Amino acid sequence: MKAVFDEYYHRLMNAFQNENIALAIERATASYRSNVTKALTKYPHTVELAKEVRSIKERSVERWEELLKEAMDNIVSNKGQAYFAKTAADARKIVGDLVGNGKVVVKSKSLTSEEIGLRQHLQSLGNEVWETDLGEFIIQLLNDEPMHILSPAIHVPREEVAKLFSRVMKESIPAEIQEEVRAARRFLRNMYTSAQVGISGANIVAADTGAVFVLENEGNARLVTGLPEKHIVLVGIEKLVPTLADAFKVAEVTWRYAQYVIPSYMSLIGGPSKTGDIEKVITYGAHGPREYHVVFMDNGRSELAKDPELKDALYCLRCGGCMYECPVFSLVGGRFGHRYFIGYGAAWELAVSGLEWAAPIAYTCLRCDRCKERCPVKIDTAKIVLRIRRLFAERCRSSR
Amino acid sequence: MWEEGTTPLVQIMLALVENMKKSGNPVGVSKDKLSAWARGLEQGKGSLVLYSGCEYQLVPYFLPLVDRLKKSGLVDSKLLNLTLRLKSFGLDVVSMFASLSAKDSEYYNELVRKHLLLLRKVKSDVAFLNDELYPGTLLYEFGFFEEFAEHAKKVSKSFKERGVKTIITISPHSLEMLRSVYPSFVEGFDFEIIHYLELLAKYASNLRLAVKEPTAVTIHDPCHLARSMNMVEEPRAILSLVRGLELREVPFANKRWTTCCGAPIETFLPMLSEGIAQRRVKELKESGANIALTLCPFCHANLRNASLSSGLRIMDYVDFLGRCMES
Repeated sequence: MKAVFDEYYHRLMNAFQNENIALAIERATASYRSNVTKALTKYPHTVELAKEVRSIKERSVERWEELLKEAMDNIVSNKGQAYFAKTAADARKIVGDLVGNGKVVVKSKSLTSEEIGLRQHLQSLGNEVWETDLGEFIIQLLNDEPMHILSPAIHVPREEVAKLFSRVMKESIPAEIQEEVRAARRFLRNMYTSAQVGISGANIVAADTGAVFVLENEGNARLVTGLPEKHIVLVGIEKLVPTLADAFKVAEVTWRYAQYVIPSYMSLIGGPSKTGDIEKVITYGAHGPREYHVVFMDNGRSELAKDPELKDALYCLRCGGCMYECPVFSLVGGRFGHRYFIGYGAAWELAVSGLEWAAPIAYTCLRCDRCKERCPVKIDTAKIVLRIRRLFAERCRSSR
Repeated sequence: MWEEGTTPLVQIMLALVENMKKSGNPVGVSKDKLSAWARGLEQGKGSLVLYSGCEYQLVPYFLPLVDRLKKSGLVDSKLLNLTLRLKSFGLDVVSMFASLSAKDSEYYNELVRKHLLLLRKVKSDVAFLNDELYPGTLLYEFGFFEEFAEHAKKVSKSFKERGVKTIITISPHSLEMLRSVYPSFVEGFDFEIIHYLELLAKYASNLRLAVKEPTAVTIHDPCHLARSMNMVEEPRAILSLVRGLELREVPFANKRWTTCCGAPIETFLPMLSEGIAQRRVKELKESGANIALTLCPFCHANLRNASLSSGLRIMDYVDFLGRCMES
């Protein structure tokens, strides 16, 4: 326990002393607030819709087992494969077996894969794995850890990106954002075409059809999920909702609170690529993946679902808005957290990493409630944090 | 009671909890020190009482403690033990910092007096209690619910014994504790809980309030008052009655969007707490006012520390209002 507290504390204080972090987040926050206000002003119905989404999530988390079965059945009848992983180790094993070794793997951004260290696992099996989201790509090259769930490299200024890219790509990349984006595009293009496997997360899964929704702006997830022969989705069971109609509502609220009027892309994936254009014979693997696998993962989520105070955390849409409102995050970014960030992230840490990781996060939280003011589904962080502090106090008491 | 080798953050928390159990407050301040603010004041008899929750009075003891924690760096628990004289029976803040606390004590005691005197202007029958008990907020905040429940029962009993019916709280934490938390911890906790702003807002139009020269102020809304208790209009309504006063809002971060002052983590992560306070001071200055009014003793202390060379003056709301009274 002490080692974890100490490690957490040192990382936290190092981030606090790095003034670049606070400066970068200050700028990002100003831009986030202005964009989200514009988006919500243009589409004011979003605020009411968010309340409906909260109740969709409440009902879905309540009956996740039922929805899981329905979704898995539908994925199979759509000629995909569906799996259930109880633990992180199970999920790593399933995905590892599907990938094998000696492959080139491209990934789109997925918190769930960060949660289980999937990239590192696949690399250890002897695969070449590339993060394709620009922020994640930078983090991977830096051998760092994400600083924000939607903007993982929020703390890395353009000058550092230029140095990093120049070194890795063995050509001189100027410290201009446009040039850096072009360079990443050129570099990763080769990876998509040589990759045998694409791995993505999912923002939402509609149980009635098994449809997987992936939201993004860069277009990398389209390539990851569309180009390689094999597409694997890793998704937490909390992403299940009953119907396609529910899924669209969740999607709209998610992107709006992630500051977008509309994202550049939303992929709706129902199964492997297919064609019936020659003699009406359905043939799989037309232009997209021939194989399609969806791995549903529990990894502690079902335990959160049973706890009346902690289950709020499962409603999170991962819009990232809360982080811009957190006074602690504004100074230290994602170091206020471990795999999951800020106060409510303590519930996720409890589920996936245990109390020794959840407790220091819970005692860092100010319980000031501003994250909830922003949160579209009104996750009660103050309540979650207090619950985890209680668990910790009980441990202190019992170890006396 | 803490084990050798636990992390400093945990050591400090357990020391404060131990102090709570021993003395009824987290820094082990004696009852006579906590009630010194009332010296010479007529106590009053009625069932309407002001309850300070001892919070203003405790601030002067937290200040030097937090200061020392900052200096110790909170890295090495052995160092912490040396610098803080953590003892097996708690953390002896009072004797450690006696001289440092003395001058601040006078200041914060005076603030409590000012609350009572102002309230008595609008409601002459406001009484107060001897030997008031701290509401136990930190036990609740730290997650020590069993200890908190036990403490809350004592506090409730002390109100019952005095025949109290209505309690006027003067800090957001006491308000939230007594209004929203106590009823689920103490059976039959049926007192009427109000906040002094509610009372003032009702009667303030009877007061003659003015500033001597044109003055601009801003309000630092405390998180627990604005978001938990949804009390954002009252302090503004009262200020609007002050002739010559201009209220300037902090851009965006006001009312329900107010930013925390950092005080809640001052003992665990004192450097970070200070960084948050400095950020808040910067936001408060963006209002264009050079006085920021606080409505919570902990906000006051944390922001005052962080504003020392900022050109922004941090003032307690009631302190300011008292100075606006025309005789």
